[in-house]
Amino acid sequence: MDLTPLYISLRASAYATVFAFILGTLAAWGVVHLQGKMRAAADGVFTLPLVLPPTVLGFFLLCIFGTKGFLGQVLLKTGIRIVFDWKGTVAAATVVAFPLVYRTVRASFEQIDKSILDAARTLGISEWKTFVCIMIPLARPGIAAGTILAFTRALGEFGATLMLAGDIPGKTETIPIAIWSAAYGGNMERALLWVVIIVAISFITITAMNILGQGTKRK
Amino acid sequence: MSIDVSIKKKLHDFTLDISFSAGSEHMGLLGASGCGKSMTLKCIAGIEKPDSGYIRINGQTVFDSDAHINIKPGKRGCGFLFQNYALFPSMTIAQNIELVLHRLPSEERKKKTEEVLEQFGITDLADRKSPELSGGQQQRAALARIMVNNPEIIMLDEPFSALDSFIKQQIETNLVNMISDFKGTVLFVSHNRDEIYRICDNIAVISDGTICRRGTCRDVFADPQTVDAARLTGCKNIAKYKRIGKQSIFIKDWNIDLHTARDVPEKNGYVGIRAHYIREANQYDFVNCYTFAVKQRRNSPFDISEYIAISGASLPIERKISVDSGTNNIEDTADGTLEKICIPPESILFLVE
Repeated sequence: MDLTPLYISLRASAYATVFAFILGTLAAWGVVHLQGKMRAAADGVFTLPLVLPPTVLGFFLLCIFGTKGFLGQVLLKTGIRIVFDWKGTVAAATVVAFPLVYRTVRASFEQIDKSILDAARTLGISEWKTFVCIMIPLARPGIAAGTILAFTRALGEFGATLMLAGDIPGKTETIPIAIWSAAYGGNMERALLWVVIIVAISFITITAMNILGQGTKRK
Repeated sequence: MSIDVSIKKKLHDFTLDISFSAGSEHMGLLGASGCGKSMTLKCIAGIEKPDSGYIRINGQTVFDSDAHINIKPGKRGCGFLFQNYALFPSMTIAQNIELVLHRLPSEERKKKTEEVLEQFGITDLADRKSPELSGGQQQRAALARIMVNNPEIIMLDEPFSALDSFIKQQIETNLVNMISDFKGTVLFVSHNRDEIYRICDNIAVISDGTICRRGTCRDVFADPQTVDAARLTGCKNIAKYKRIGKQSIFIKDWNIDLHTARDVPEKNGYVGIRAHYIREANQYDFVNCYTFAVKQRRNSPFDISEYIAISGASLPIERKISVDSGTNNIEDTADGTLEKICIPPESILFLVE
């Protein structure tokens, strides 16, 4: 049996998780510093990928990373190709995973006692030091939960990936796409096998997160 | 060493409008919760921004709305002790202090941290995290963390309100000792008049965002001058009076004529009488002696609050009796008993709204 879809999916999810973790945490940090309408607007933009149809995200990504898109042209000049490439699977998975990190981390940041952050400011501790040394350690459970959710979401990404990276066996065919193309081609056994694998990975990941979560609470 | 503040800031229910200055002294801001006293400290520290006005610390302008000056909190030289001490809970006490010194080279940082830990007697807490520490230990660590920054002024925001009452006294003494070497201004915010009276030289009483009385602690407590200041300094009996003579007034709520030691102001206003000064009449009392009916008694361990009224009064007068002053038998008498009470003329305070 050809296991490349598993490899492609895990690689896309791993990269996407790292990117979503960094971008989501930074976005959450930025938003908690905003107030009023600016905050509402920024929060809306960062949450949109959660509610928009993945095909819409795929469309936007094509506009940005496509050969005619601004970023796509810049990247092409440096020899990096996103569309119909495995990097496309990473880009698509990052976008859908991002809001999960962003929202859980933002909620954790908002839970931090305001006087702790005020104290850091009166003591002359820089915003960046406060972020790295105080906020991130205090938000650790939220960051961990958000990152794991992001991983499982990235693993299940289908629509945007298909639009951006296509269905190229051995190159961009992730597990969800393999399921789709197997079922579409009438190979229900192959589809079922991948279904079982992806359910197993997701279930194990979420369960592991819950067990770890209980461990930290007992402390 | 001084601070000059004149700020306005619109808040939910009222507008904060505070102006005061203080030198090298312990200055208390007394007010009920939500009166704007903590907000005043936060504006001085730069955590909150006033709508208008100016703030000068040791002659340096740290905020001026007209000149568009708004210096960052970390550069104002304000040591702010938060109500909950606000130690960084994920770090040890030593790390808390080292983070404040993060701009120094590592060796110097370590040395200074050790010094300040020793100075505050918390060397043995260096490797503990704040959630494991008692309130008093946390306060000590938080103060060490402030002092390592060499602040120009220190601001204490309700530093004892999170503590159990039985250890409060000890911690209060410790805190006063720890800041006794400090040469700059100390601003102390509290809703507890006793703490302020013990710790501060001067006091500003704040009500609904404005200072209603300023002065030395002794003066303000002896003569609060305004109704709000009287209430906040613990005056229980406040009522409207009608002037009936140079030194006599009628109080409708209590249905009572009183002679006063001070001349009665021409304009009708309010009187205040502290519950402690109302006493049983003796044979030498000639004025302000009336027979009151006791409406209600409330016993505390060391004093009794008695609500007394003469017929026709719409409001009772509260008087406080210390239990150890030979009045122990009073506890068992039934409500409605009659007592001959004297309201000393010199205890009557005139107040304006």
